Amino acid sequence: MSNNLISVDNLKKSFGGLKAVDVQELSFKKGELTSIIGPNGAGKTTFFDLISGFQNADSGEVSLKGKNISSTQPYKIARMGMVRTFQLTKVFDRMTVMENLLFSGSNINNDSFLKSILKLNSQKLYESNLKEKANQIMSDLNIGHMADSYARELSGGQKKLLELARSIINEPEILLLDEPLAGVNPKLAEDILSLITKLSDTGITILMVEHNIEAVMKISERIVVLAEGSLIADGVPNEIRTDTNVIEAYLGKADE
Amino acid sequence: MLDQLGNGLLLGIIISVASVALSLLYGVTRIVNFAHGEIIALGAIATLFFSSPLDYRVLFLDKFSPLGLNFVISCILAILVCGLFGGLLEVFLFRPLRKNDVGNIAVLVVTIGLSILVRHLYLLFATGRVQNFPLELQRRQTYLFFDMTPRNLNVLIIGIIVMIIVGLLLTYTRLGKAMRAVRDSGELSSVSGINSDNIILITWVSSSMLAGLAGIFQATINDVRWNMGFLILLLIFAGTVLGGIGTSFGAMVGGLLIGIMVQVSVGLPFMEGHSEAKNAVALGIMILILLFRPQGIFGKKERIS
Repeated sequence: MSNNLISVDNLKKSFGGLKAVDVQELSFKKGELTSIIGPNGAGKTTFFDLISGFQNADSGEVSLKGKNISSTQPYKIARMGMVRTFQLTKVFDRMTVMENLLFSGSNINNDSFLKSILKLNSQKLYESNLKEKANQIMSDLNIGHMADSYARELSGGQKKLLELARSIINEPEILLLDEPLAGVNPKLAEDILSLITKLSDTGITILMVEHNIEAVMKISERIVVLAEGSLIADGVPNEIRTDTNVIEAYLGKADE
Repeated sequence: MLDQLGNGLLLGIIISVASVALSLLYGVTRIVNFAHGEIIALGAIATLFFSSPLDYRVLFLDKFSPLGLNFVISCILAILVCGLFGGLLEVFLFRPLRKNDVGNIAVLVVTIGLSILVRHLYLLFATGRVQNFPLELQRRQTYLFFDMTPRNLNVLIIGIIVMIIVGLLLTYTRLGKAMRAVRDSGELSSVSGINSDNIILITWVSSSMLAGLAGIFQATINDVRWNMGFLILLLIFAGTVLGGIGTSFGAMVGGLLIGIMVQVSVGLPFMEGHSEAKNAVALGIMILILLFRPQGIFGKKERIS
């Protein structure tokens, strides 16, 4: 129990009459690389929203490192070390690629008015130390040559890479990736997958929502399947591949 | 024409400071605040209330006597009052609207309603009479190639200093970066550990304090009226759009340009005896500039995709 980083207990969320998420019990261990899959509308993104604080559950509890975070605001959850990405890639459009990284990577607790003025110098110092790290991450992701371009000038795939870079520069404990491969060309997808595997090897706990089943099967240590908001399967890739519930959920029930 | 340059600079500095405030708020919250003019007027009316002599019973339905405080202290208090007012607006009005996902157009209409409401509260409580700050009259003097009173020269200098400070804060501090971050994406800011509600509150307070300062400038140069903010609101919008909406530096320059164009156009030959129409020339030029540079002078083209 103690090595469960995230636990979900009886989590329910519905929109009008539509049941979006209804998960009895689910937990994720430190260091696991878990994929969450399921047909469209299975509640995967809503599940992410619930555990990252972007939506509040109707009932039930989410805990992070043993602390109940069911009604904690997203920025506080981020400060606790859980960082997420979004299905529709979000970057700070009007900052350069470098600024995006420096901003996301700098000490995230000093955004009050007074502190921001008083700490002008320490902020600068901090950023210069961070620059090296940012450069390293950018060159790992092949966006080093874009450092001084505005983020809005990047292509869709490059934005995806920047979003990844941004979310790992702060060395989060937990990374929630919402469709990291969506709209990305096959070559880039390979790169992103190997990056995710590498991150997982460094001990970061990763939850990933992804539709590319082949990729999911290849890199995941564990796969969780949601359908109509409920958990229908949970296991290692080989178990999931042959699970009848999963096949039914994706393909519909076989006719007699 | 050049003899109007001094007046142009003074009108310019009022609009400039007010435009920076409007642009800051729009930049972070996407709210086009029609009640901006009323916060400007609040700065002037509050200063008048704090600073007028005790026996000066023209204000506030003749019921409350003014406080008779030192003028500079009155200005500072008035700016604080404006900041408080802006903060209250955010906490009790605009934050609930935002949490309920009320659309931009609906919020715009709310600010129009708020503007009309507050303006007429001023008319009720501060009367429609034109009033002046309790300052002695000064004679104009010539500085370089423009002339104005020493006090108005101070206004101009203070305005420029304030704008430089604001510009530096926005560019170089963590707060300024957080504001830009919240502007780009509130959700993404949250993921980066930024409390976006807090940043928006700070934005409302600082925008309102700047607006209050603009109101004090306007009343020092001209006079205090219940609808003084509303009268220059369109020029402020013009300054903001001309500079490039959402860019603070653009708002500064755009505001100054509009002010100068409005006043200098009074000296044009065909404007002889028609100085009431001075806004026409300036706004005509603004439209022309925007035809050729739709993103404003300092705005940047956006990549759409």
